Amino acid sequence: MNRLRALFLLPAWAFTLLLFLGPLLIIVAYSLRTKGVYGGVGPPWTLENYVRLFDPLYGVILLRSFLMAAVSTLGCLALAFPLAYYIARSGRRKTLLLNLVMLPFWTSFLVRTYAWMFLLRDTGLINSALLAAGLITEPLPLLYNDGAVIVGLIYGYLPFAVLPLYSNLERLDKSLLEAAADLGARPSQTLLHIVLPLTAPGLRAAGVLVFIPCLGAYLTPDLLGGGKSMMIGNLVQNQFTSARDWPFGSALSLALMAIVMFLLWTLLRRDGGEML
Amino acid sequence: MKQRLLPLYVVSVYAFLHVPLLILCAFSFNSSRFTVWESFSLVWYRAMWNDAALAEATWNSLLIALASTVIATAVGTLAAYGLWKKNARLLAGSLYLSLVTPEIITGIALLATFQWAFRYFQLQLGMHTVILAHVTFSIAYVLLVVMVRLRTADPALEEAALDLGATEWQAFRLVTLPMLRPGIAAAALLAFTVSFDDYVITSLVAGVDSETLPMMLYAMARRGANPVVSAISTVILVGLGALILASERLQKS
Amino acid sequence: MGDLSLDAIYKDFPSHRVVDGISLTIPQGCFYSLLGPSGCGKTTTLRMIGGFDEPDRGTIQLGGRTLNGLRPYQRPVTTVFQNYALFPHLTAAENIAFGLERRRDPDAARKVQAALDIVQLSAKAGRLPAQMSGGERQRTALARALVVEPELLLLDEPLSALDPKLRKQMRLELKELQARIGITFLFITHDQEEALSLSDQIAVMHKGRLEQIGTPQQIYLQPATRFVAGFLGAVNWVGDVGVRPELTRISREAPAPGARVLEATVNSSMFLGDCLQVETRTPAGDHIIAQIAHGLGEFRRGDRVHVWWRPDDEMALPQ
Repeated sequence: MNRLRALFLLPAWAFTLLLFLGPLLIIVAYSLRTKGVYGGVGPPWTLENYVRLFDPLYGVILLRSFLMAAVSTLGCLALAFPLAYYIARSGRRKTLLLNLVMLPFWTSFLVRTYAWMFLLRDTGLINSALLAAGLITEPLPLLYNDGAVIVGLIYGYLPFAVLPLYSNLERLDKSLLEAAADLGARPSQTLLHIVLPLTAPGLRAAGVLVFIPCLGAYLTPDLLGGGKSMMIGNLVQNQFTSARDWPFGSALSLALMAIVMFLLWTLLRRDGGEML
Repeated sequence: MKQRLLPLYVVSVYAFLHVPLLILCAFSFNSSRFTVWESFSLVWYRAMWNDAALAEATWNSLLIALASTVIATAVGTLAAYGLWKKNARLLAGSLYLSLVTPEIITGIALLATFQWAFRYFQLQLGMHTVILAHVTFSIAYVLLVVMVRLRTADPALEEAALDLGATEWQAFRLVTLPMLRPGIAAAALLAFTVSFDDYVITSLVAGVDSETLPMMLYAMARRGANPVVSAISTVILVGLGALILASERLQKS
Repeated sequence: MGDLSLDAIYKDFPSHRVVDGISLTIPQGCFYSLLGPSGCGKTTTLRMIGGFDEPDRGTIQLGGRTLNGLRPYQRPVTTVFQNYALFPHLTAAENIAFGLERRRDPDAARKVQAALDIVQLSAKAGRLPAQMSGGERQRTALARALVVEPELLLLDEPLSALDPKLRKQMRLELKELQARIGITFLFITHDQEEALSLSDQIAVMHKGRLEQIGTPQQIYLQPATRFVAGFLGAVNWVGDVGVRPELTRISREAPAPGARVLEATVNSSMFLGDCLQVETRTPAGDHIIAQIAHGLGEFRRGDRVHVWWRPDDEMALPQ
């Protein structure tokens, strides 16, 4: 039986090695090379690209990416926790309510980001409505700033927070809450002393699962932030296109990749196989 | 939490999720080019319908999604079966890692690889590189969906087949594969959706002849307000939404 | 056709040894039970005979032919799985036909019909497993395994998924079926009542080893070890001697000479439906339980009594 199974793994191995792990290795190699005169990659070998990660010029963007991802993650958790709690307690409508969260998520990331451009741009719905109502005389600068990017990130990755919280809250034994109430705890005390400690693994998973894509976001800051709200992903893209500095772009990518893997590793080490 | 506060909060979150999309769809039927409602009209849909470049991009997207779905579904299903009991942590780990790797990194890594390889072969970026890239990121989605199905499967079923005289291949083809069919169909629909919608990776590995619908949509969105984009968005939302609903149903069956 | 023999079988799992040197011979045509608590290695032993696992050491032979290394489909052995493992997308008839089709049996249609008749499922031939009752599933699984005419049928706790009433009925059917077709049945169970009532021979397993092999009477009445004695039923232990509660008598007066007697005080008395169970305590601190028929007296807490039994009913098993 094992021979057939091993054979079945071959195609997946081929794709993974040639088009995922292999490319990552090439990026590792490029990150240790020097930018050529015409934008190519050439000798000598160097660690210079990694040193440049700490250049304040890029440091600002790295720091901003972290902050934006952190704020977006907190926003997602704040929206997702009550939502997941409500869904987990809604009996037969659970599936429907959960699908209503997931459906827009799976359809089209690009369209969903565009929906916010449609709302926020100078000639967008919000500004048009406010102008028509005479509340403002000039359009508000709603698009192309950090706020717009954060809203877009929360909007984009909210389901990543809802799912782990939901599966955690769903397993929460309702009689525990009743027992707490029975022993004299007010609802806020029950939430603080019973629900939150018991859903800590779900909160951690939700936090990491939202933080990772937020930190590596490209499309959202690109469309909603314009050039004004750059994140790491945009910097990477920039190095590979207009700046034509592939070695530095590679080093940036690997730094981002390292953070992603470290976060996942800590999560898996703590909460074990619950994730997969 | 107070009994009335929570439902109110939940309703607002659902509004946050759905209202922006509903507004976008609604205004695609507006006769005015501006975001002030005038009257119901299909003028933007007509403009969309008559746009030859758009038709070409849609055709490209469909071809790419179809080809990558077929390949990724086959590869992913075989891999899920292979990983079912045989432990291959490196492969499983790599596939899961590919799910969480920021798209921009997958994209530039593939771009760098293709560029590097093309120095040795007389090839260029085009439909084939897009399809290869899409297969690579779709395999993990297929794997996840099929694995869920396999996890609930009784390993004794295959043993029973072997016990009754079936070879390993027959046990797979006659017992496990029919059992997995709804899961495989769900996985294929999902793979089609993620492929059809992808912009970031596609834009990096596409050639001159392989502009896709998302690439075109992106360019139009950046250029400024254009109600045709709303019309295209509406069509995409409805189309992909239907596929996802079908996939959900299959997964639950 | 022939005897099944296991010779010094060992099987290690990563954490521990599951099967620790098992040797036994199952005569052809025998209804043989492997009895033991969960985790004792009985299921692993069955899986090695079926070909789903390979022993680390030792040989498995059937009628003199070595089975080691043969794939499940190469062995003249079939299995009735614990949860039946019926193919959910195939009807009862298609499930039963599965093995015959693999063998390209030209007579498949007739054999399937005959098998359906034997297990009285002709009326349900077109049903899917999900549309069948527990008993019907069990009979389909039996028919599916038997229709390919194996030399040996393995049954992995086949009655455990049924409700108690049905279980007793299926027990009768199983015994009757085996007597009729005469092939060897190897029956795995943790239920001593099942093993005692069905088997010609029982092997009791514990922690990967065989504790005792014998007929149901031998196993129950002359257990070789304290584990066997305790696993097959309750035992009153007095030092190195054990006696079963239903063979223990109780009375206020001293019994006739020749019996083993202890003086005791009644702790509690419990009505169990088919008998009265009196729990007593001796001055030495031993708990002695007697199960007696109704009408042999009433006993209250604190009553001074004699508990006694015939020397023949004693099991001498040093600790």
